[in-house]
Amino acid sequence: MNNILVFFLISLFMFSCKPDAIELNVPQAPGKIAVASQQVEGGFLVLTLSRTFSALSDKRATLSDSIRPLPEELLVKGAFVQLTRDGGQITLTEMSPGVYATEQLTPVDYANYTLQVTDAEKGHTLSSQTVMLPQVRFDTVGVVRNPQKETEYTIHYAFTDLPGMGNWYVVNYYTKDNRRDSLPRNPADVDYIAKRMLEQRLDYDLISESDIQGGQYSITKNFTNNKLDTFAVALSNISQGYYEFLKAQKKYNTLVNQIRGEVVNLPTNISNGYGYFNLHTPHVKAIDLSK
Amino acid sequence: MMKKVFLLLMICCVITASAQEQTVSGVVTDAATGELLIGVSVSCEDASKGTISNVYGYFSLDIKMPCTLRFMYVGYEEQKIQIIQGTPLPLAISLSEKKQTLQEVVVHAKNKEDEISVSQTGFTHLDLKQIGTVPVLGGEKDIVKVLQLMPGIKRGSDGSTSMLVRGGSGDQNLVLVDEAPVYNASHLLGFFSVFNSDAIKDVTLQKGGFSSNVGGRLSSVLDIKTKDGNMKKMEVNGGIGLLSTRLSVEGPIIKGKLSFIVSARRTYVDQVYKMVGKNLPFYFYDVNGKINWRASDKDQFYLSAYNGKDVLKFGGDNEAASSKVYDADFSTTLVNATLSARWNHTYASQKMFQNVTLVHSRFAYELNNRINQNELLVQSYIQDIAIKINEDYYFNNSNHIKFGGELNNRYFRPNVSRVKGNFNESIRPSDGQHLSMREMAVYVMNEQTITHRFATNYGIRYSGALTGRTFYGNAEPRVNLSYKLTSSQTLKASYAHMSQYINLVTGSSTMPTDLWYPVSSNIKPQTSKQITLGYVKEWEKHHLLFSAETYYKWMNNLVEYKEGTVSLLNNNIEADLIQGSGKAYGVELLLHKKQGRWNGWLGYTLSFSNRQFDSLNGGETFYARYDRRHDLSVVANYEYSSRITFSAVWTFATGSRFTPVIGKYLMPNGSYTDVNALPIYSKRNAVVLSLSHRLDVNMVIKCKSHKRYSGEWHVGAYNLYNQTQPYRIRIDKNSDGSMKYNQVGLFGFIPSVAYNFKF
Repeated sequence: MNNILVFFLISLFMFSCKPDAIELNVPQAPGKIAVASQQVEGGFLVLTLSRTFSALSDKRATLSDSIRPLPEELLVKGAFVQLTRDGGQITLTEMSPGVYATEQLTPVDYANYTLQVTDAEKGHTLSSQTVMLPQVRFDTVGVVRNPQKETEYTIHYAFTDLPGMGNWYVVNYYTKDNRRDSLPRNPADVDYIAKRMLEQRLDYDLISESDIQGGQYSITKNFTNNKLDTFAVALSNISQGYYEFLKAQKKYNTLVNQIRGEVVNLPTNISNGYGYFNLHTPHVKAIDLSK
Repeated sequence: MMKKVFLLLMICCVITASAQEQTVSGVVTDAATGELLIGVSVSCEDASKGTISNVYGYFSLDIKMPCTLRFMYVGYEEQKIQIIQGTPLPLAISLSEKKQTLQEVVVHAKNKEDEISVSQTGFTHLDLKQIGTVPVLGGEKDIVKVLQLMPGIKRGSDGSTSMLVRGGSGDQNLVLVDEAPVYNASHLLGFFSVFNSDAIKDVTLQKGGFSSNVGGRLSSVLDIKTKDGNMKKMEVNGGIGLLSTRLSVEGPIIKGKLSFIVSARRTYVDQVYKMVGKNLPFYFYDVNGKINWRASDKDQFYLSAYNGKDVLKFGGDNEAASSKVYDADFSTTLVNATLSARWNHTYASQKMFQNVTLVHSRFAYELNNRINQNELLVQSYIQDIAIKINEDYYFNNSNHIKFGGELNNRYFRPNVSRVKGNFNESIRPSDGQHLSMREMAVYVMNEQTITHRFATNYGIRYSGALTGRTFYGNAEPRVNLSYKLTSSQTLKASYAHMSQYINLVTGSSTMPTDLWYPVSSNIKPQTSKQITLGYVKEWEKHHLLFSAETYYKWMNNLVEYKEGTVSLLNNNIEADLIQGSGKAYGVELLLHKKQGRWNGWLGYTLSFSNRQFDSLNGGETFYARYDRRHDLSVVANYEYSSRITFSAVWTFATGSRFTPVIGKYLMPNGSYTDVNALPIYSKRNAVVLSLSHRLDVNMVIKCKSHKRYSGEWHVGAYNLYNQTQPYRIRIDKNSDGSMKYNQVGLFGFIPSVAYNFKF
């Protein structure tokens, strides 16, 4: 009797059909240029210019997989990149495909800088404006390894908030993580997913005025990681717009968001483009843990 | 304020009061089962005025002696009772079911004249006796699926039991089972409703001119009454379908005094798979139980309970574990439970009827993710404990006053999480939030017949919610007007103000992790104002009814997530909620053939629904996700013989909307240690999926009837021509390596066979 029932049910299910998928034409966003900027102490500014691409161009791009190295066809080569302040102009040099830099940037607090880019190859132009914010320096930074457990570290740092309301900061952490290079790169692999969740924990922290008590910000954080040689931490005073951009990027880059999160429209200050142009001089403290 | 309103109502009543000689009251029951009958037309043969029995089978009427009372109810033999001085009151009327030669259709008004006479707009009453003829997924009877075929009520995705009523969202529907709210009305991730049709006696839905005795949601109130249990004899109903099997037992414990009903349903395919050594990781069950005690001719007590559970589990079988380096599983468990205790009392004056209900309702879900020894468990629940008091006062034949109130203590526990193993390093366990809210409402309303042409239903409801130290209160005036142009044509109009103090915060994904969240000092109550205009025309000779309604609804303080929000493991949901406004408007047409060998209906809805949130879509107005412009349902039944009936349903709807990624760009992460591909999205809900249309068919074959046993076969097919009903988008690879967007359907052609029996 049981077998008859099973046969009957399976027969019914076998007669069931799965409907074919229907292709949908979704117009893609027009091609534009995305800007990323990075500044280090000593007047060195690096701009990365890359082209937007279709969501259909690469399967991996449908998830927000990290793409390393940068695909060369997406980099903007031979562009004219100019920075303007008070009539003075700096033309950035192409260091490598898509990467433009200058060592002549003299940080002037609260000065307005205008970026203009002309892409000779496709004829795209873009512009952006930003304000150079004053550097804020750490008051203290310290990293301690847990003597009971070698893979645990505690970092403590403190800094003094700039006077006035409406300051935003980003603190970046750089470590040398031995385990990272050995990660399997197949996103379908469950181990990869589990490890990626771990490694995404602390790339950078965003700090807004509401996090700061009494003009001082101080925090102690714990890291669990394999044995590290070097640890660096960088503090940058950033604009609210860039803060929102990084916050949105951080939200989007979590694995959970990509599986079941809400839409994230990343803000931009680029006219006719994407990304964010921001000038800030970070204060970097590096700690040699082997000592 | 309330005092003044009540005074005004009383004045209106007095103005229209007529000479009162004698009040006659009573209850009307089914002669065979003792089940109370709702909506029975009661009238004095020589008078133009009458009344109908309420949802508890009770009626009250002022008559001049002597009088012959006439009781009429669709599908039942008419009964006449001579009332003279000395007739014992209250009356206990039993109506016998008619032997019908032709099946009537599924949805119709409460009684033959109601569509024309009832003053409310946007009111649907579902007759469950014929529900089985409408073809549905897997041959499973489903009241919600049938409601979705009515104008103004749309489904979410294919197969889903979600209801989107007049441009509102899914959480704007109040679903009551024996007065207890049901927070999750779906089994199998939304493909079946939790309502076992064997246990249900009556279903009504309000979506436009709401009466003042209901509230708490903006878009609809679905009121389900379960059977009381056969008072006369033991009865067993059951059935076995493609997916589930069900059994219902009812009967008297003390004949005419105390009865019970127990109905249970469970999917069984997992057990069948188990027999052949396979694992099907899904099942659901639900159980309804009720005890009904007629303590006296004035007092009746009920105890009604519902419990349902869904379990869905992927992975974790030993075979896989031994062959792979990891062992992982994912499971979801959903539990619904309600309990209501009710007391009906008829006052000695026979003019007043009271219903007091104590309610407990709880909905909980649990997500469990495990990878090897690492485990993450997320739980959430919502719980209600409430008391409701409703009084019906039959002031005279022209004025039926209702008043009452309710108090509800709600408790919320969103996102309680537990972690084990390595997940401890990245996810902090959380005790979730402890949130509570007290919601209250008082109301007074009058159903008034001003002239034989002009009727009205008006009232006011004052609702409020206390959350922390914040109190929100809303006065909700409601008016329904109807004017009979002729005996077969009626014009209707209504205005309704509604308030809602809880929100189902729904993400874009389809995971069952939507969270109920109360108003707070930051989250204000949702409110709406709706106007409806309606026209009804009946061609009695042809058993045809046509109705047209147009509505405009303004909604405020609607709730959405901020961009980028992840609700899972979120301990401060409130910080990620934003509020905005919405508008919905449209036209609903229904052409309904009620009787005859061919019967059925054609429902069409043209609708628009949009939203505006300052921080979404750049502040620009956007269409709601389920803004389906056109929606058409054609339901046809053909009774070939007294034993064979054919049915077909064809549905057609504009596709729902979504927000696709339409481009990408590369960007270093915040620490410049990696490069990510970031998305470029289209405008919110800018892309419309393809049209949905499908044909479902069904054939009912009644077995030769025996004295004590009857049975029927249902043979049918869902989505006969295997049309894709898009419910999500995925990106697929073409054979040449290029990529494309594909719309994926869930269910194709599915044949079904079911057998129902009764003895």
